[in-house]
Amino acid sequence: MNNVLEAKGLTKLYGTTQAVAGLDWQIPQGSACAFLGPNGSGKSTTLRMCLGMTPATRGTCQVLGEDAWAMRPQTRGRIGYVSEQPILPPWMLVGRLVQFHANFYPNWDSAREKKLRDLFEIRDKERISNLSKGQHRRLMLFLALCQGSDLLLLDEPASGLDVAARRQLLSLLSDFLAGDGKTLVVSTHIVTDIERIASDVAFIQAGRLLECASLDDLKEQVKRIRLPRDLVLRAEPILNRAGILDEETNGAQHVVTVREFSDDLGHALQQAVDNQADVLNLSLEDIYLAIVGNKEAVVQ
Amino acid sequence: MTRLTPFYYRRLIPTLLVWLGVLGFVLLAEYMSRSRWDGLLEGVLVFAGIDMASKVRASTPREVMEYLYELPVDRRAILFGPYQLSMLLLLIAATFVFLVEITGAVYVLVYGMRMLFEDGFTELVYHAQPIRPWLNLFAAPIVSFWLSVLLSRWWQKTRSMRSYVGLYWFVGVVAFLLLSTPYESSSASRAREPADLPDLWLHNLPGVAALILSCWMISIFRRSLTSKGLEFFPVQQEAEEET
Repeated sequence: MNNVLEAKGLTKLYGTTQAVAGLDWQIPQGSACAFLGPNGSGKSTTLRMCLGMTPATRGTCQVLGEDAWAMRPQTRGRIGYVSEQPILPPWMLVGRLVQFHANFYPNWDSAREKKLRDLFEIRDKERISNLSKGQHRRLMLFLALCQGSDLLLLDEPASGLDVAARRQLLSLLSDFLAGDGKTLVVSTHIVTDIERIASDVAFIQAGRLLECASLDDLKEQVKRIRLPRDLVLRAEPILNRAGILDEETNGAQHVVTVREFSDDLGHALQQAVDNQADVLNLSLEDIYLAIVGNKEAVVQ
Repeated sequence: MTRLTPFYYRRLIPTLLVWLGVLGFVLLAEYMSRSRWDGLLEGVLVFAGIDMASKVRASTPREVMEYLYELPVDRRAILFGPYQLSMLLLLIAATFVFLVEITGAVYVLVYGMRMLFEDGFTELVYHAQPIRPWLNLFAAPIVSFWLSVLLSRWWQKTRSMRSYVGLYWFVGVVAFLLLSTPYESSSASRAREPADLPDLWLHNLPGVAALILSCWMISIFRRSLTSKGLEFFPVQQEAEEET
């Protein structure tokens, strides 16, 4: 499968501050990648470099087969982007902006525009400066979804949206992904939402990519193991082999989260602790907290 | 005209009143004044040209520039767009002045206003003010636009360039004032006495002082309008905070 995005050693420095540090990242065509990381971890900067909105200090970034910074306008027209900040011109009327925006996109989907107008409550006569944060974001999403993009980069798209709007958004993103070869990259804090549609995940921390894997693989490999406290010593060599992400003792129970769980390892563990270990599946949020939280602790 | 023109055009609207005011003032002053106002005329035009170009850029907040960068448009077209539009307007204004000059339309206006002034005012106008080469009148702002465009890249890259750019403008304006005077004094149609260098300075001093005063007054005028809630340069403050 082709990669729509390939970053190699992507680095961004602001003065002496390193926002992104040697990022190597590939996103295959047709995937839905959840790009997760704490505030200030470099998510937005990475997306902006991928879109060619800011140059990389070092490294390369190929998007849809072209260098992101030297991307031709035609290629840029195949990318939809929703930024974290409100960026639409505040002095324009909504209807005028939609018209202005549509003129730049030859693949503008008028049928979808009609369909989404009611859903997104697009009111042509309203001035953008009068929109609330949520309305502003809805308008940005509306524009991105109507422009017929092959690649959609969304930076905190659910921020400022209520629960119902977030549900609608997920449904619309699922519709988008149903299209042939459409690729989605979503940076978000609302991990539970994105888990429903993500096929891949990437965790970023302090500008470094900690993980980049398929969600299914990650869920197979990252497990939480609960076992009696007095059996920890017997289980320890096996747990170490699996790569301990975090562990805690809770009364008589010891709970360990491991990175590289496998069936073989599971058998060995159960033999060592006389089948007294419970192997628990984790949600994406738990996995994120185990991996990123663990690194945060190391950094601290 | 590009697809971005409607976008930048909207940014220019708040500046148009100021620009038209300056233009009207210059036109009238041109025909009503004697030679010692020349410095003012040139200066105000140079100032207005630079001011308009820089304000269009400054009044576009960084976030909104990001919106433009997101669009499938060449980056250079986005950066040069405000200057292209400003220059287009300036050329329209120059053409307007040219037409006013060659048709003599301004004399109708001045003749209509003769009651406001002292006796012999219109006669004074006829004798004192010839046709000034319109291209000369507008050459400085037009050149200044493009120098602004070229210098803006350095300006953004290196903060230390700001002092050089400031010095450039200062020297440029002073040189222009000085050079324009002997040029005009050689023109038979001008009611200006040939003069040596100290005299040239003295001739231009009122103009330079008036230029500084007019810059200051325009800035006060803007501030007072903004404080009264008029959307003058609506997002300029935001843009300044961003930078």
